[in-house]
Amino acid sequence: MAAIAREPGQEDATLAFLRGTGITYQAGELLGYATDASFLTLGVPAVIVFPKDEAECVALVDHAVRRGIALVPRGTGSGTAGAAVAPPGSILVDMERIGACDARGHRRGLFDPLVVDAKGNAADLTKAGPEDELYVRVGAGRTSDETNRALAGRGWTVAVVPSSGYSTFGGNFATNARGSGTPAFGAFGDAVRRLRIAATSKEGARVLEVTDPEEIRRLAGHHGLCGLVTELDVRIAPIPRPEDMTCAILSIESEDVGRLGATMGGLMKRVAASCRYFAGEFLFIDEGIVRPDDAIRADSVLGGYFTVPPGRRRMVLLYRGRKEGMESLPRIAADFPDVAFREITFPQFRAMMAVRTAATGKALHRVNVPGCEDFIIYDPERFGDVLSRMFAAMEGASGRPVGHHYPDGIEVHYRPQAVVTKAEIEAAWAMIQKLRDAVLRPELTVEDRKEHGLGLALFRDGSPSRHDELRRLKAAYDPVNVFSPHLLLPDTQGRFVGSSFRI
Amino acid sequence: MAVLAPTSESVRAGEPRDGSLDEGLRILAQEGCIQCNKCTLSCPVHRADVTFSPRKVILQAYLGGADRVSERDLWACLTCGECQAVCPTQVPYPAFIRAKREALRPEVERTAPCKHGGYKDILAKIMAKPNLNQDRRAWIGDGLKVADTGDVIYFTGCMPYLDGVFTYCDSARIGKAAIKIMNAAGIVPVVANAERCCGHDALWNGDRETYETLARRNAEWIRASGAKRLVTTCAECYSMLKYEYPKVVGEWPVEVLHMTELIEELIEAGRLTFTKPVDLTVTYQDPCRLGRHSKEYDAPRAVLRAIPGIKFVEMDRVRENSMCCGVGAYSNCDAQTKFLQQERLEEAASKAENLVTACPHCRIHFSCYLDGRPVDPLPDLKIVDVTDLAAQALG
Amino acid sequence: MTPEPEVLALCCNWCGYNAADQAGAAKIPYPSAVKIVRLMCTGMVDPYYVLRAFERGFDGVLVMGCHPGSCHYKSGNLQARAETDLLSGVLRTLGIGPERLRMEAASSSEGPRFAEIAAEFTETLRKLGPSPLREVA
Repeated sequence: MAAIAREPGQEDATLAFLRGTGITYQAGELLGYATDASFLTLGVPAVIVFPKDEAECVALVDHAVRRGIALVPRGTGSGTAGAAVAPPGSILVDMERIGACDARGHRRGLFDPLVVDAKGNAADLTKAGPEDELYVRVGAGRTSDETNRALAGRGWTVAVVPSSGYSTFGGNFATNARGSGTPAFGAFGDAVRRLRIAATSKEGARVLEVTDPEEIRRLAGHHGLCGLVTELDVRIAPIPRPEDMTCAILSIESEDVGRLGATMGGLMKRVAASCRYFAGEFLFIDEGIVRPDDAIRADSVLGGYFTVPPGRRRMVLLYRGRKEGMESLPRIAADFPDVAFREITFPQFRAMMAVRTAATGKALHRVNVPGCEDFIIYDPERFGDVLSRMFAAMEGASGRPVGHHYPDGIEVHYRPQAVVTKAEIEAAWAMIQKLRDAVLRPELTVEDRKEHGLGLALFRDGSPSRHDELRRLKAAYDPVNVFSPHLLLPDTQGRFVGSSFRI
Repeated sequence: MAVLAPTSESVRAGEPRDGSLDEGLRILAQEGCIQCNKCTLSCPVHRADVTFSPRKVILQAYLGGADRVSERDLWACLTCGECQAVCPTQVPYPAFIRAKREALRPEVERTAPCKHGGYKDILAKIMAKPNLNQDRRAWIGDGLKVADTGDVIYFTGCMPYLDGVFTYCDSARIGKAAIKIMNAAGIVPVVANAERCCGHDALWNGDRETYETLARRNAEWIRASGAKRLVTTCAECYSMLKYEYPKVVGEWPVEVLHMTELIEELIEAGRLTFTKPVDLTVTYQDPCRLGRHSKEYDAPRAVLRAIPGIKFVEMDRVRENSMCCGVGAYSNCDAQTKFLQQERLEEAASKAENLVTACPHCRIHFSCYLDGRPVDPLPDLKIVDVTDLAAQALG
Repeated sequence: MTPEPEVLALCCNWCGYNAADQAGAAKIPYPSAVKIVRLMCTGMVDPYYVLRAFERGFDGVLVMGCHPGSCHYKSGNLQARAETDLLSGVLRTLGIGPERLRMEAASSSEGPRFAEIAAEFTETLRKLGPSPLREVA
């Protein structure tokens, strides 16, 4: 597909600008950047740029404002809902090098993290205590994997770590990601103390430094619509000593998934009220979730969870936290005779989590079709109802639901997996619509969290108060709509609606 | 929004074997990449050149057919396998690139862009010829015993030829150390003049004809020798002889060991004792072909731990996360390579004064970098082979 | 009947090649199976050229440069000498034989010398017989 330039010569002007400033770029028909991990596309972009620092971001935004060109920022492209795909005529901005490369533009995986306190002053991690509120000052292109590697030697970790540890902090903030650590530290936006963003004004680019926690929370989940976030102070937390940590596995099986859900919902409601924990994760286990020869089946402790009698479903719920926060868990579990409770070691917890992560991955030659990424059930007592409807809608489709137990609700992720043919993908989408109709209902206290975007649908289906908030943010950070391609390029607007699609 | 579906060609490639389809595409389509980008973030070449991306290559191949792979993408890959190691679905990217190089060979008139002037490439082609009467023992020197027949073959690969060009590190030293160790344990290895290059570079650069010719010539004399075991000090020869040869040569009677595996075995059997302390602080580079490709991470470490006096400090990126020495199959050495070598050697120098390797090519590539002009300052670092160190401990 | 030895002569632009040219212009005979390739300087000689020549079936390779001290680029011929010394070892190991590679010097006015060397080298190669890599039809 050829790029649609708004005016003739606009693309030449951009290439001349990029050559002049020395910003790394690629131009031409860039098939390889037509999508992110979602396989959704708006067409083939014609230019992608790879800025290496904030200065290059500012120059880029400035050029975009003056020329009226749309910018679409992208992290590592691990998003599964098409939030970082660029329409023709726009510039795709790959942010993965920001704060992560040396003066030559070589991305350095190993680095010495800069640790700061809540006021932004440099702090010495070796002298820090477990209660200290500390942050790493990192570029938006850094990932939690590499940051954790850098911190591990001193016994600290990033506080909120999404399951894709190779996604960038910029991306985590843009989606207000949740993950391991959320029960204790909140969503990603709650764990950022300060950020810098290359925003726009009518005159050109301007860099804003945001330190107000409320403003940061409002900005979290901006999905790249407010500017290029270049630097963040991200909360870190000490890695608990093994003797202070406890992990547990709870398991239930039943032929009736509604009853199973009702029981577990009741249990989770009490856990939320009485326990404090870092991570609460669940998955549904069926016979085929791991291969017959997988080593975990032979494990003396974990193997038993993987044999499921036919016609029954098993749900396994894992918790990890400090001993003193989880004291009441065994007593709560004892009140639910259908639920088996067991304490496990951290390596065993990790082994089960690996199965859970692989379950959201895919079988051979299939893709995850996005659409019902993450919905949250605020009242755990509705969990049984939701599960009944969900499994009924999912009947015959592949893919395995997993979820998180957060203190404020139960979040479920489900993506059907489809063989990569038009017919199967369309069938998967149709099933998703059925699922959304069945489950996304206010009377079930379910809300579609849209953590993973989906273009305009993200905002169209939001609450009026969130709309107002977003309009205000837009006016404050991007009054010229450089980061809203659907507004700069009105004739492409029809393509952005995420809930309808074509192949 | 549209959903990107691959071409029907790549979808069909996932079906039962059809000889007319591009092998590279078949490999990819069967596995199914989810575009998560972990591969690209772990790729060493990508760190130095942000426009190089395995994820992108796979997507383009999916969408446009595998002839969409550009020349740069084809040859810049080190085939180190870091991508495959982190891939959630184990997409065999190096195998895809290898198959693609093979598929393109008929159209590429010149040889693959072998670096260092095409030296190893032309050597392999010469060694593929039938009427060769090499003198492959001249480098051995006095005091070391080798034989024409025996139970154990010492496979030397390119060793007799490396010092002819890579003059900044004495590669024959490794071979001498290997023979010394074997003699000390009562083994007189067979070193044969009939030996040929193992064909590693030919195979990885898509020249299947040269590779299979070399493999068959080697298999012929190896079978005729009656030997039961074959030992090599080279990680590339090891991966070829152990895992690839059985696929093409028919009957393959020898057990293949890396020298470190043999040393470990001899120590455990009490046939080898290290008496002389070697007082060095060392760190260890897992070669791609011994590590990720062959999954042998432990034997070299066991050898290092058995040498008295050695202080062994691991780097951060080791075993399946080890970082490539920067050049794969001698086909890609450029400006980006120098950044990678600087990065890895900085990491090594931060841990020890000596970097131990288990493949003569890692040693050559790192030594080449140190012999030239490092991109940034680097503390003093010596590159030394593990077999050489072990021989020093024999006294 | 043994075929004529095929020789590749890598000659530098300033001396060796001019010498060959002079020999031709003065009609001084030298074996016609000597194929001449002009390089700017023998310093350009890479192991690949020599090995490729043998792989292609040449029986010998002759490198003709300037006399030491006279190299147009100061020391290219010295580099060439170092290179051919190393290559001799490689050729010995390969079983092709170091005698099949020779480096000589002939200034641009030494046409007769070029012819003499070419003839003498060809004769040596004839006595050695064809290269083991030569595919004799």
